[in-house]
Amino acid sequence: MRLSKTKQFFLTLAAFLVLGISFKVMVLVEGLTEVRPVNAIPPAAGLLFGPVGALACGIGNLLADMAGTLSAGSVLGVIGNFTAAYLPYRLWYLRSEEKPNLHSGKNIIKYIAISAVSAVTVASILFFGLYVLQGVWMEQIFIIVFFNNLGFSIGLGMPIIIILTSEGINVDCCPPPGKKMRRKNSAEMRKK
Amino acid sequence: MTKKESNILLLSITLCWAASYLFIKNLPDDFSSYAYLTLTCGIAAALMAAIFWRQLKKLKKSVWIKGFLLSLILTMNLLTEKAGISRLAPANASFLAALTIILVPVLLLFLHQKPTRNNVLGAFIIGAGLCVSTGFTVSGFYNTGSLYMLAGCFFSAVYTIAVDRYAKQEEPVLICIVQMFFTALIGFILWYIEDASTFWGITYTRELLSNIIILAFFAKAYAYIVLMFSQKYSDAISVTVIASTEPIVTLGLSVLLPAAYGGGENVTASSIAGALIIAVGAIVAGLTFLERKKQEGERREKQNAS
Repeated sequence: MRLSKTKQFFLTLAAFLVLGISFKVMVLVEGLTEVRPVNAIPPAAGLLFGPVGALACGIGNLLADMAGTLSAGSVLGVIGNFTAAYLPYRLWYLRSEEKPNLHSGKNIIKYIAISAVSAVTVASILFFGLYVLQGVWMEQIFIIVFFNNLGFSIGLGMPIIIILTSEGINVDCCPPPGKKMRRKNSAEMRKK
Repeated sequence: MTKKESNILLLSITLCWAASYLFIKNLPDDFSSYAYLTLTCGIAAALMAAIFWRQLKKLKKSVWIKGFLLSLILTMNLLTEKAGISRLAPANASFLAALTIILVPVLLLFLHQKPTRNNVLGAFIIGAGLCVSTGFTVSGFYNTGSLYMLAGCFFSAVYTIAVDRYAKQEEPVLICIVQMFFTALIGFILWYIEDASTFWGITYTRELLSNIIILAFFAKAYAYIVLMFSQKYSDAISVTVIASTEPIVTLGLSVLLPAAYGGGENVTASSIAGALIIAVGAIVAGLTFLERKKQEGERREKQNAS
């Protein structure tokens, strides 16, 4: 299934908003974070749609925050969710150009490892960011954000990727970073 | 889709269904179960129809019939379980509900599908794990609630086997949409009989709407679509085995979630021991060592005979 970049953006945004706003009732730290199954979307969107998916996650988080938790910390939410999607995309293609899929045990382990690195990064952004922006130093924030990201990336993110990369749907993944550019360059070279 | 992927999908459904109890608990006490059925299945059907609207053109008579049959079995399962739960102690009710793990292989025998030795051993280990985790006691079973629960269990097993067949014959997404539509319709009729004011008799709050949307999205739309999808690549026994790991998932959730959302409860030595036994049972059921041993034995016998 081939989706245009606009469709990729709005599909991710819609999914992010539905999940993000619905779970605003399950608050863990008042005004800061809640139980977030929506965290399953950034790794899937990043791996499948690349920077477009990451952008949709960042903006989606900001719009979802407008449903009750908008604050200066929302800037961190935008950065955190963009990173949660963009980092897995870059890390997946670090050593191979195989399109994201979970068909083999090796790829499943790779995905879990990427999710763990991504969860630590996002938790650090929010934890230290809150201290810099608002002077809030809450150790539990790091733990909550880390497990929220890792748990849902694995528990729900994996099934999402499996469905979207199955034979019936088979979403056309975003090419590896720089791949398009190289193609253009080689086309130009051939022309020359 | 590989077997590993199919198992991950089935495990995610177990996660959704285990977590759904937390949201059901958040619904108001006087909230009708028919209203719950109508709203969650109705929203799920609308959601799925909106996402897969292009595939709706492929709807044919056989899909309507199979979807309707599944919705009937599902509704009977939900109604009998509800009647059973209200008459039994929670531990006894959940033990009887989990007997599906035994019933599915038994029913499959009638369809001339023999479970493997590993399946049978795994099912018994899981059964033992369920006894331990639910705090099973022999007393408290002598009432009509047990009959209702056993009927619910029977419908659940029939549903698993029927889905296994239909998902391989028809387009899983379409069967799922039709099934959800009819379940919502049956739920609405029952709701109307119970309370004619139906939708207008509910006080809509943000919390209620959130819970209903979450349940419709995860426990219905996502779970049933994925169930149909993965059963196309799996078999009824694997589905039941993975579904029986629910106490392990529930234990995990109660550790991870704060008390306000249903976490921090029921983590006892027996629930941990039960979860471990169930995990061992699920692993045993998923492996093939007993089958290989049997085949080796048969090969040796043939060699000796020749």
